[in-house]
Amino acid sequence: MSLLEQKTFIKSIPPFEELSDDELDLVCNNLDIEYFKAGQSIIDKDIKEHYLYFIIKGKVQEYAPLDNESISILIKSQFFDPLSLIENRVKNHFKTVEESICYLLPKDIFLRVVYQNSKLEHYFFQSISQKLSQNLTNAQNRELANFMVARIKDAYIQKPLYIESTSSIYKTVEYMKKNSLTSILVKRGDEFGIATDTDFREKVILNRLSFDEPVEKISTFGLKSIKDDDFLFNAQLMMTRHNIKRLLVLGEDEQILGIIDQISLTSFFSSHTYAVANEIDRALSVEELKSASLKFIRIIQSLFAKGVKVRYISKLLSELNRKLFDKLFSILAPPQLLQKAALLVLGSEGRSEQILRTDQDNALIVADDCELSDEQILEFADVFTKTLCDFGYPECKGGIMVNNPLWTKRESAYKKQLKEWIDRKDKEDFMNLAIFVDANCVAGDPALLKNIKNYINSEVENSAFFFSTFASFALIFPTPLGLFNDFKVDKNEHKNELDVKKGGVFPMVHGIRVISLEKRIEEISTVERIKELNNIGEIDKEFASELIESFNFLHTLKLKSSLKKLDLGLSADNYIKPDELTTLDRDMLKDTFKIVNRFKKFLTSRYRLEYVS
Amino acid sequence: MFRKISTYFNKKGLKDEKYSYLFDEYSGDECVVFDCETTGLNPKEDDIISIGAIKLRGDKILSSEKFERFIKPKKELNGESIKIHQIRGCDLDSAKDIDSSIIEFLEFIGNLPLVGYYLEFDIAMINKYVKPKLGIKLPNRQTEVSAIYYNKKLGLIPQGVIDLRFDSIMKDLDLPFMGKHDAINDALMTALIYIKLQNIRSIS
Repeated sequence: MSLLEQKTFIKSIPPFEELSDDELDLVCNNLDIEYFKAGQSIIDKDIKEHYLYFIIKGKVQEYAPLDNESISILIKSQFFDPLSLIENRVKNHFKTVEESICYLLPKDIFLRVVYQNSKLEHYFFQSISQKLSQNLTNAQNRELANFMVARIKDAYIQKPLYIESTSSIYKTVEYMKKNSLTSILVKRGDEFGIATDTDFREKVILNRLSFDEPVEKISTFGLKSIKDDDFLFNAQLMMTRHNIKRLLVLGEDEQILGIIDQISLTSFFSSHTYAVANEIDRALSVEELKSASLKFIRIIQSLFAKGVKVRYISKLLSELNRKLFDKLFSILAPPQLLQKAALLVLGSEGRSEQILRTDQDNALIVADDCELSDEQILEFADVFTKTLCDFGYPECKGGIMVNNPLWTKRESAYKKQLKEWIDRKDKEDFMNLAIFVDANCVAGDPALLKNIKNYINSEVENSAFFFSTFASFALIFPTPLGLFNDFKVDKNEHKNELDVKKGGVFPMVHGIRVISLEKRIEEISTVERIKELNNIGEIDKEFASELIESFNFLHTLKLKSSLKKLDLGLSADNYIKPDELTTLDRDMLKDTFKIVNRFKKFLTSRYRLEYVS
Repeated sequence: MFRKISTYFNKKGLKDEKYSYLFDEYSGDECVVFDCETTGLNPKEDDIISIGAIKLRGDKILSSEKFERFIKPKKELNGESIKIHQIRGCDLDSAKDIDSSIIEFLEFIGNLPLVGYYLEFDIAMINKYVKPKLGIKLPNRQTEVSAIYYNKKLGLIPQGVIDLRFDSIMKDLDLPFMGKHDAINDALMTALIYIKLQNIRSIS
């Protein structure tokens, strides 16, 4: 009778509604309850008892142990962490955000039920691919789904080299060495077994077995097999279920095609990223580069779908972009320019913070002693910009591109220009300056950029007036949070939407940029700058981590919303609709804006902004 | 001191040496929370209908090892009590008789400290059966959650009247309601109250 409540509770949580009555009884009869104080760790590396936790009440944070970065917040009726129980390792850590009460289901009961119930098994082992297949109708995601529902034959399959079971151990190892194999098939009549490096180490050496014994003695027969047109995730499922590392791959007519192992499985997805990087590296012509560049968007989507953190996606994307710019520069630039110029990426691209492919923001510094004429340089710049447009990098509406003479200059002309920007201090000049402060050299001679950055530092040094005017730009857009903790949304063109860039990202990026410039921090990305400012004691640790979390949260929100808009065939912009967010995201967005407001206050008192109009 | 003396006399009355373990001194972080449903509020006249008990270890409620018995009443259930806990006569068809249930209960609690809400009443109900059978009263250490609640609340409202009703305490401590009032659910919720009170210094 009393179990009724537990049953109703558990049954209301997908996929546990699939439990049979017996399974539900088994689960409920084994539930314990635990109380956790706010901030108490539930799962960390020291954990000794393993449970699946269902939250009855409270909030639990999932975070990465390495950098304490928050991954998600779990609330009532959610559970954690099934994957750590299935994979038998603790990856992410969990702690309470507020006082929480959880049901505890012992690991062995959980696993027993998962293996017993095919629907649960399906859910836990294939949830990713399933989610993706639901999105199949969606054109944008189709590519991505293809990516994820890859077949066995798409992955690396080891050649089916085999040896007779009567061959000696010595001869087998010799054969493996010759063909550089780590495992080998052993043929006994019609049956195949396998001998691996581990077998030789543990069964031969440790047992002091004679090298002349037949290899049959140390082989494992009854190898599991899988068809080459089966899904990769099924291979993963089989390996996990039978706790084995290798599977025999069979063709259409049951002929043996080779062996697939855990390593080639896990490296499969990430290798796509490397494949693109490689393609860029090897490209010899503009055409080859273009084909590589078109694959970027697929990578972003698949990584995002796999739950990779947005910060790492941006990093990866910038990395790929830079490789591409570098390569394109070396293909297109006249030889005289290669060592006498620095190709820069600016703004968010410079800070490695763009998530989707945004406008081209680039510039070129040419050394004073470059022999090319200004016309020749601009001619090259023009081709460069046009080629990037052709690759799918939209033109920058503000004209911040190398084909604009304002952004392609000789070193001395740049210094003159920067001095004007610093001295004139009007809004546009300061925006240009801000963009330039975030420049990053991607090709050519980095010393050219370094010289100019040193020049900027020497020009602005100790000028409190400069810094307070520069900092005041962080306050030009109001934070879209009302007096009563409500969102202030747009009433005109973007009805019911708010601009996360103006409202949150820009004030943080700019404020941090100003302090970093003042303190001569060389890091360019906002998060790295914040960490460095914390290191030198300008921002205390708590505030620093709040800023980083908020910054990452806004970025994730922006990416989510952009991907959604792209799916709907709209163009990605900086607007989001608070009404369409989950309650949790809404609350977090409010908290984030509160932190933005606190940061603005921090800037105000630091740079005396109350006196700057 | 007083407890020691009364324990001494209590133990002297023990009829069956088998149960002397009840008197062993307990040191550890476990305890038992329990609750009884009865036919009425007078221990002298009314009977136990059900007993629910749950062990606690630290901040963990071992609901997977709970104790729950429905007991055949000696007299007819009256309409009033049926309204409260919704146990009708026919629900008790699978019920056991009180004597074997009490013995099983003693085995379950052992020498662990007992925790409850208005525990005095539940203890009196149990003692009503234990005393004639074993010659003793339950010797286990006893903790009253409403008393802990009172003390932690008092710091805040020194002269105020403190609402000690079960549901009011649950609400004040912001604890989740775990289902309708029956012996095992009440024990469970009392366990939550107890653990939470152990974890907070005072109630804001």
